[in-house]
Amino acid sequence: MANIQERVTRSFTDQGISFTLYGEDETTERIIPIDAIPRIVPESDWQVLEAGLQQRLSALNLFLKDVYHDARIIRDGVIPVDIVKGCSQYRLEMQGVLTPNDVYVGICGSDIVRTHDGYRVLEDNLRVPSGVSYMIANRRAVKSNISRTFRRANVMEVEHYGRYLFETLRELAWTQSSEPSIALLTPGVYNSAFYEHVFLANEIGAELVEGQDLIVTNGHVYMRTTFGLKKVDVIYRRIDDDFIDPLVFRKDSTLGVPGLMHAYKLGNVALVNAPGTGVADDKSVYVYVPDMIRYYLSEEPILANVETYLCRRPDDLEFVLDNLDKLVVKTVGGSGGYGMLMGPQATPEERNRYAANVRADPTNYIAQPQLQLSRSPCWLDNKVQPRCVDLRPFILQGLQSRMVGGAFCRVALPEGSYVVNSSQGGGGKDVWVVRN
Amino acid sequence: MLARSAESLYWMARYLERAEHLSLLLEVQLNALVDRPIRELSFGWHRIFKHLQAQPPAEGEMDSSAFSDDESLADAYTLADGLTFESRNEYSLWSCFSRARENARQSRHRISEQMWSCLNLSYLQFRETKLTHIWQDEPQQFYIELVEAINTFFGMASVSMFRDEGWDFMQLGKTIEHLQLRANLLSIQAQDSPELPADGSRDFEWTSLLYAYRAVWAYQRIYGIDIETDTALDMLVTNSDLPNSLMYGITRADERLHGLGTAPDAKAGDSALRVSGRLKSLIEHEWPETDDRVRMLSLITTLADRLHERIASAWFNYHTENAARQV
Repeated sequence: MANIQERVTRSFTDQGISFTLYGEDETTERIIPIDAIPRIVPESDWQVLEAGLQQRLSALNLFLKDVYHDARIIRDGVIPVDIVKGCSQYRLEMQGVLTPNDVYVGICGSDIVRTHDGYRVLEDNLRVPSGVSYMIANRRAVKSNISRTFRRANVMEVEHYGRYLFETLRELAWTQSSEPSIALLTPGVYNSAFYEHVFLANEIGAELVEGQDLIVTNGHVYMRTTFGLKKVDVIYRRIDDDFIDPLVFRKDSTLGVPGLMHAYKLGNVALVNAPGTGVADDKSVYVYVPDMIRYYLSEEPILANVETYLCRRPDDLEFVLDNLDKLVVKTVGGSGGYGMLMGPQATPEERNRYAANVRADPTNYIAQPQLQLSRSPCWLDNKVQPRCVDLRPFILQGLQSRMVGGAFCRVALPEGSYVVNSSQGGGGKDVWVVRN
Repeated sequence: MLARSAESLYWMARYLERAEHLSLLLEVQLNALVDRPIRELSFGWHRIFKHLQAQPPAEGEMDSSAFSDDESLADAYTLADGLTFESRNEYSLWSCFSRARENARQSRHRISEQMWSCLNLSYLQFRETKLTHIWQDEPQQFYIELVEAINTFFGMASVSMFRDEGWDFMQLGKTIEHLQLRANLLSIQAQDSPELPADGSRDFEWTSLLYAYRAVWAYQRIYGIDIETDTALDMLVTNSDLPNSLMYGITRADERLHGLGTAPDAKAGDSALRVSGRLKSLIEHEWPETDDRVRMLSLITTLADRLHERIASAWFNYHTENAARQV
């Protein structure tokens, strides 16, 4: 087992499968730690997850169309108006803007945890979800090193994700061409997920562009090539809304493309995911996703949420402040494990400091019980040890919904840790969805 | 392809070619430590620093006539360390290598997986190496292995890289760097070597350059076993079959440029072709028999620099209004 682990780790190092941590030296690359023991998920479980996630994404897309058009869900009192329109990710600029096939979120990565009473959705990542390249890299590294076991286990494949992604992007182009010009917009080589951007551009045969490579002329987007300017039909953007167009959003952005939103609103280029999707993965809005499913689809949610307290509600706020030592508190717009309080592990001073922040701006916080995450065997320090894990499957939505049979499994590597984020010392492992 | 990706590939190849060139010079220089007089060693270090347009760490230490052999070795250690591992020196091998990798990383979707792995592995090994590790035995071996690693990379490219524009720009970068470096070094050597005493030191310097450019065997086949300054320079400039000659470099660059077709900035592209043609003509038809060679090498160096500028304007940094007609 030690040899297998060493080979798997070395293959990541040799290939430079890395990420960069925010706040560190910009040239620092870290190899994402990979554990060689795969996580096993039975096909029967996977079918439930797949159906539940597709149902969820359908409702979220309907929600996004609704809040940027008629806002029926608000008028009908299902979701309070201030939660939606007070959300920092709500984009006025998207009011009335149509998207191809009414799809706002074409690529979704939802975080799933397994607790004592089954799988639950911890959060939906609807802006620029990352990690899918590690899912495939984990699979390639593990499969080639334990090939006989893999063959015997009858595992579902994940390596056709690139084809699914390409088909999804093609379906989300305004143009009817079977070969739309697709570009993947990256913030650049110093972005933490740059490896993934390169990987995905390669998988779908797209140009990997930075903002400086694109220009907008006569309402169309072009990229600078060695043949001259070439029109772009679809942009798979891996840049946050704030930075995509300095004429509309942050004026100091050097990552974006001036005039991009103008071209987008004219329907001359498709952006995947659409701007403004962050309003649907805000942690306050998350609480209402089961209600959205009932409202738009007239179905009961297949997958449950994690119990969540909204600090904007006075009763919830009181409960949260009284029980900080038992809860995990997060900012509503946060991600990557930053800015959150792990109540049970925090010191009284840390909890007091955090409580003051929550009191000062309760609308910015939610709280959840510290979940007893499922644990999975990992090879650490030359022995098998249990570690907390979660799952991030990726759901694609074009004219149809697509998922591969696997996910990125994140592992909280430090002993006793519940934080699985790569930026906080987490690692990854392959997920084997084993056919019945 | 994306102009920025083309530029990354171009620079990746340039930095690797630069690293290879410096490795070859350092290998020869460290080999000379074994048995050459201190005066020749000093000339060799001067040649390298002048070529790099850099100041040695302590200029006084370069005047080695006053030093013993032991002190000269200590100087060599310091100088080799600075030229090889010092990340603050933009001309060091480490800087060249890491910039090559950075450019490869930016255009990773345009090179083969095998090329990336090859470059990344060499980079990781280089990163773990210190001069103290290599100085104990044969320091020159490190430079030989680095050259082999770079050659392996380009060999891997030749069997695994798709022959699209990415390949063309990579090859173009390699040949332009080749041309600029060799023209510059030959110019310095032709200018400075007359200052050396004609007691064999001058011939040794040209012999060492032929060694560095892997040209001794070819020279001896053509001109016999006695190596002479003028014929050595002739060969390194005009021989079209010698991979390290200027003629070989400009011929390859010219072929690549013609293969690229019309540039987005057609005017700059035409200008690049004219400069390239002029360079080829200079070397092929106007290389002087004896006199004026230093001036000619200086002109070749200037034109090689200009060629690079024209390429960058034509394909990488062109004004979009110049390219608008191609939309």
